[in-house]
Amino acid sequence: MRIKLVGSLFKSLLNTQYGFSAMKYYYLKKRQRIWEPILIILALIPTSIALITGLLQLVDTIYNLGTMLGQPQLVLLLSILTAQIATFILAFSLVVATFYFSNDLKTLIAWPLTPQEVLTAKFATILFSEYLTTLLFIVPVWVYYGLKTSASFLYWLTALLGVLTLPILPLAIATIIVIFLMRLVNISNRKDLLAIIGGFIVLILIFGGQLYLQMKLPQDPQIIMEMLLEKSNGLIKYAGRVFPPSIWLTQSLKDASNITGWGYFGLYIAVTIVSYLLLLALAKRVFYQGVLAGMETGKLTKKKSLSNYEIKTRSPLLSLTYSEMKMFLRTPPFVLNGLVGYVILPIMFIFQGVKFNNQPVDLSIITQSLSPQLLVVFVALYFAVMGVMSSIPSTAFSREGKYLWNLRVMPVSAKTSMAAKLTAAQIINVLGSVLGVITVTFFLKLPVLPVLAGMIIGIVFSFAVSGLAIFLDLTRPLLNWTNPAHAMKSNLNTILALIGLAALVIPTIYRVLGHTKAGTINLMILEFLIITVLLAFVTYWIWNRYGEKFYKKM
Amino acid sequence: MLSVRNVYKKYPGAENYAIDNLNLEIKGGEIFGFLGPNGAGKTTTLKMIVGLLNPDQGEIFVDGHNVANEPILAKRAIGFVPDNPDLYQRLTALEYLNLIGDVYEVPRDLRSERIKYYLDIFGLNNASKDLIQSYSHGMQQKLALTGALLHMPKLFILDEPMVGLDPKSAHLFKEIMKEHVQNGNTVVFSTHVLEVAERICDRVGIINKGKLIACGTMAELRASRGSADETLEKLFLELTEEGETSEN
Repeated sequence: MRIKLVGSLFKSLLNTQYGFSAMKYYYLKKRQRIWEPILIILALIPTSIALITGLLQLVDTIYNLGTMLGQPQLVLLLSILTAQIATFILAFSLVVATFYFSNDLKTLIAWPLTPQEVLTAKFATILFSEYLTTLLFIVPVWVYYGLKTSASFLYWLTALLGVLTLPILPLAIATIIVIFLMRLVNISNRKDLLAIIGGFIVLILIFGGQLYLQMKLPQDPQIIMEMLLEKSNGLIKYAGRVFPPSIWLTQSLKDASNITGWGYFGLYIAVTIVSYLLLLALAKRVFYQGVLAGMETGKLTKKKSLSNYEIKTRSPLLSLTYSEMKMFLRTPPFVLNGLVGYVILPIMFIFQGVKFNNQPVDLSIITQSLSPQLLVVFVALYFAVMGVMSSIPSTAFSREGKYLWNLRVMPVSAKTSMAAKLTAAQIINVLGSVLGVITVTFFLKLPVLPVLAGMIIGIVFSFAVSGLAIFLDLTRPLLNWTNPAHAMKSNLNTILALIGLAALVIPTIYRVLGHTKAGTINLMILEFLIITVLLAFVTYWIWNRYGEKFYKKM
Repeated sequence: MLSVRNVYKKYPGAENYAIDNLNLEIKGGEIFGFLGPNGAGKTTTLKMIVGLLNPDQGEIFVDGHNVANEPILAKRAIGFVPDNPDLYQRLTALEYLNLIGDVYEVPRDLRSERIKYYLDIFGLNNASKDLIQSYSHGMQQKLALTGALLHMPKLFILDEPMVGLDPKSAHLFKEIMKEHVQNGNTVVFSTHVLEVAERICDRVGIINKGKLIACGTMAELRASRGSADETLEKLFLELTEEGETSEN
């Protein structure tokens, strides 16, 4: 493998994905949109401080508990396991998008590069993204542990090497699964559908695995305590059964100053390298085959005559909505990124339900603590939160990418175009949210009437919130993406929409708590209704006032 | 049919105008060829006409409608095919054409008739239910043409339409342009293929560095140069080179 060449390719891919050159051009050279990085930093500083403070409090508790049990390194193991599982889950959709649905593949395959070189460069770009998320959770924990135990220089050295290598193994495993899966699904002409189904199967397997472990763990806290105290490393070994390399890294950090620790570190590094070599071997054999099979969609179907009934007339709004939904649902990276949130809650509850069936749990505590009024508000908020979190409305125009000209030349107003995008987003949001709410209602045996009322208000509330998110995307669409996942995952508009939603939800929750304390919870429903109507009005006004202006500028 | 009045356009950060005081009047029922070297401003002009770019100054009227103030009425009169038609890859050709038919409000019977007509002559009928992503560049170009002609636009605008078309399709396409004009409509297209422009255009406009440096019928252009038998290629080279010399 030509390392220098791979390095150069990696640099270019990273630049394209994160738009470093574009940022430099706009922020430094042109001095345009400088408010964007400032706003991001301003939003990130308090969020990071709050996250790290909360994390350190949790770390402190776990560390003290671990020390009591003679296992202070418990905190290290938990951090490693969490980071590796998170990396694995996050990696899946990123790998599918970067390796199989990226616009640059046609160019890269035509260049004199080996599959291993292309794979390594693309793997490194995903690794970079994974660092951004894992570092935030790993570094504070390991620094805390190092300071608490007055660790030696060798601990810090191992920690540095550990941080850098931590996401490689789960990412390599996720990539191997994806490469296998894509090679299999590409033999069919329904590859997009199969890629989506495959993605959700992986998700179910992850939760299924988690449930299996939970069911295997003793339910009685007394037995767990006895088990912990039985051996000095009891829990560590138990938890490590999930993923042995996590134990090896934990032990190498714990015993960084002696030969045992370095032995474990050697083992951990060896497994990481082997996993990567396995990936390279697989890349050589099947990576390009999968990609090329995916491009061979040119196999046109046999003669199909065009009959009159296939010409359906609809209003422009309905037709645009219909096309928008079709295009969304036929693009696997959009589906995997946009719908995953809607599926997680029902899957979790279904698995929990299975668990509860094995070990009956009294759910009445949860149901009793929720007054019907609170339920109405929470259900309504769930619709809005899910709508924004799916990133479907906040990327409505961004997802058009280079195809935007089609929409722009059509004789439809900005309002029609936005309304079509909103309707499509809301059909998905309402179906997804209803699925989640029904599952929770069923398993927690929640009262039906407040849930129904919450759903009705939630639909109106989320219409208004998603409408604002669509307007936000209209004002600053991300159109120059290279792969569809980039349009959704790297889109600042989703973060901005979430910040805006938090600004709406947090005061609402404070008001709920205030009303609960004051015993005026009925007023809360009225207040929430007023907020909903006002918000819908504000959205409508903004669309009317500024929609056309930004549509023209887009 | 098309009136471009005192239009200026400068891209952010650029020193010079991409379009510098452009004035153009195109009557109904003519084929107008828009010529110019690379980067002369042809695509920018066409994009401003169809509403993909906004002029900094000036006005554009299509079928009497101001593109800035009455964009929907103006767009309704236009059918546009860009130089690289990126169509919605995840729709089938039929779904795409139905979408176009819906937004331009083409009645069902007419739509059905026209879709069949164009798909037949372009040889796409058998692939109408396939995803556009499975189409070759040429097939996508033909589909874009079908979409743009579906509502029988009064003003048919094409940016470099011959690129990517095989000789048979290019010939067919020239015939379609002529037929469209015979039905009382107007065709405006940009091209680098001067022979095509010379053969089928009623008038041509030559743009260089954002300025319209010549406009008229072939006979008018030749007369302005004082030569009765100059080819369009020679005229084009002389005019654009003069522009370069006067700049220096």
